[in-house]
Amino acid sequence: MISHLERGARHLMAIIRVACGALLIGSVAVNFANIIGRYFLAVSIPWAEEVMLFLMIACVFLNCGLVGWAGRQIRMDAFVSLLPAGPRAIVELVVEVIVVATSLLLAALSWPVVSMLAELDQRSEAANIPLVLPQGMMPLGFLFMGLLIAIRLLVRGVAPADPIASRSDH
Amino acid sequence: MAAYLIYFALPAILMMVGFPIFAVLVLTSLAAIIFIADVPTSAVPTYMFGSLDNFPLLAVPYFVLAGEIMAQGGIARRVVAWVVSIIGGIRGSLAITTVASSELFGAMAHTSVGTVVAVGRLLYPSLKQNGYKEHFSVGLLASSGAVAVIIPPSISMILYSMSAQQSALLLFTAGILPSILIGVVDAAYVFAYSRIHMVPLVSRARWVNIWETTKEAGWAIGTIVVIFGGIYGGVFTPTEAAGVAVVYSLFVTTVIYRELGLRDLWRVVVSAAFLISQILIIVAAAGIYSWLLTTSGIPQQIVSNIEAMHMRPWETLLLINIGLLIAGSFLEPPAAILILTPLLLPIVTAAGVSPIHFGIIMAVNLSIGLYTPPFGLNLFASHAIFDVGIGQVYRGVMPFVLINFLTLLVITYVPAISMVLVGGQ
Repeated sequence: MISHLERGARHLMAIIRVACGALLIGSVAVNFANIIGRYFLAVSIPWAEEVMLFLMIACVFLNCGLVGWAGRQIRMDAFVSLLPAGPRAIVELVVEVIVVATSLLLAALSWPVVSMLAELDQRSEAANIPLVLPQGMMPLGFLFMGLLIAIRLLVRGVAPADPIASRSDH
Repeated sequence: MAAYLIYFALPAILMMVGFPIFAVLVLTSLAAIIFIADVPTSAVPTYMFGSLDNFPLLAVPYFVLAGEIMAQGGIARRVVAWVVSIIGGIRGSLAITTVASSELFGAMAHTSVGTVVAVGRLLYPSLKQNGYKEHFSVGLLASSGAVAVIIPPSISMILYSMSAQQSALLLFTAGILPSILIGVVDAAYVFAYSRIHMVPLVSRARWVNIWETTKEAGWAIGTIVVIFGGIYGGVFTPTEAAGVAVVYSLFVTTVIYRELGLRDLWRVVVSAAFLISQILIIVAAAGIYSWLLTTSGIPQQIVSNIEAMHMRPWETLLLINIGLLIAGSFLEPPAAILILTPLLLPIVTAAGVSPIHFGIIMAVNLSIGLYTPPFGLNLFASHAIFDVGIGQVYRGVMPFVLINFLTLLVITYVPAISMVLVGGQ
């Protein structure tokens, strides 16, 4: 059962990884094509900005699952890392369980908005993209995050804290 | 009172317990919605999505990707070799080279730890071989790398511009002189250190070497020309410049230098996408938190309370600087900016500080926080990268914390340093 779960999680992550890489490359390509068009051919792509934004948004939300699996969300772990191993593991477990619940709650809260957009067939102004697509990435991303963290907890338990890996400095 | 507990005490506790920052902001917002604000819970996903649906924000993923490509594709190595060839023959030239390389690479890669890694791996062995003490070398690298937070075009500035609703271009311009000032002060300190400790002289700069390294690094240095020339020449918006930087660095590393194969490139793209999600999910969550905080009237109450205390502007700024330094040593710049800007901006604006100037003050504070003991991120990074005891790292950075704090005070109390290039005082 556990190994099936882990295998399933790895397949899901491989798909997300490819999707996010493709979304990022696509966004860079649209941006570059728009610049070339505007400065060299005097023609801009009217839907470029919308599409780039939607690609970025999809990339951000979908990747949440991978970040969650790796336990590398940006956090302030300075105090927790000072705790002895036992209490630290308990605190980290409680935090992870609450993060799973929060992710699933966010997915649930986003769902009515997505269904409403689908029902009304709302579309973006320039690209005429159904808004359900970009907006739908949010519940999907949070669902993946909740699911993948839950599987990680079942398979591996709480991952060890790494003061560098979980932080970003830009 | 309940509002203060929810907006400030709750996130502080959640952060200390180790919750991811995005979850801290979401849980705080949900608590505020349930207990205080008269807002439906559907506002949470709507505002989170809306925070990301923001065109200037697109510069962040592109700069992150460009930075990853440059760090992996041999650009850093050539830039450092170029600076080394130019600065030579004076006592302390290697340490000054470290400062200059960090400024240059920070402007290209926009990441503090990335700069410490890229410059440190190349210069740390030489620093030690040439008579610089271990703790000094590590302190120098850990502190110089942090300039990436300030030197334009910085990701922190883009996030601040979004949070404070200011022009990113003005912030970039305002950041030029302060980042140069920090570099000059650091260089002056390491020069003095080298003279006092009689660090041996390295070989004099030679035109032949300079020409060779310039030829080799020409394409790499071109990145700066593309980014800065494009933005300040009015050719590109910052977002477009970031996109062009990606394509340019891709071209240089794969076609000219041929140091990135397709497999490496895919790894870089995947890693950049991961990093982008780590940062921007906080932007999404900060959107709802900052909207609730702003509409709660709390920032205005705090402004009134501070005004009632009759604090002079310099006292307010000093207090805020100390608070930001402490926050910066616990929180990464993106998180600190997104959480603290909605709260602090009304206070400093009431004290007569320009939001552009405050953006620079905030960035300088948070950059110092990155190497302020005991928890600054660059300290742990340096400890891991250079395999030096954390005590040595603390000892090494302390002089830099001190001199850069003094520089911060100058930048804070002499607004002209930030504002002169944007046409203000």
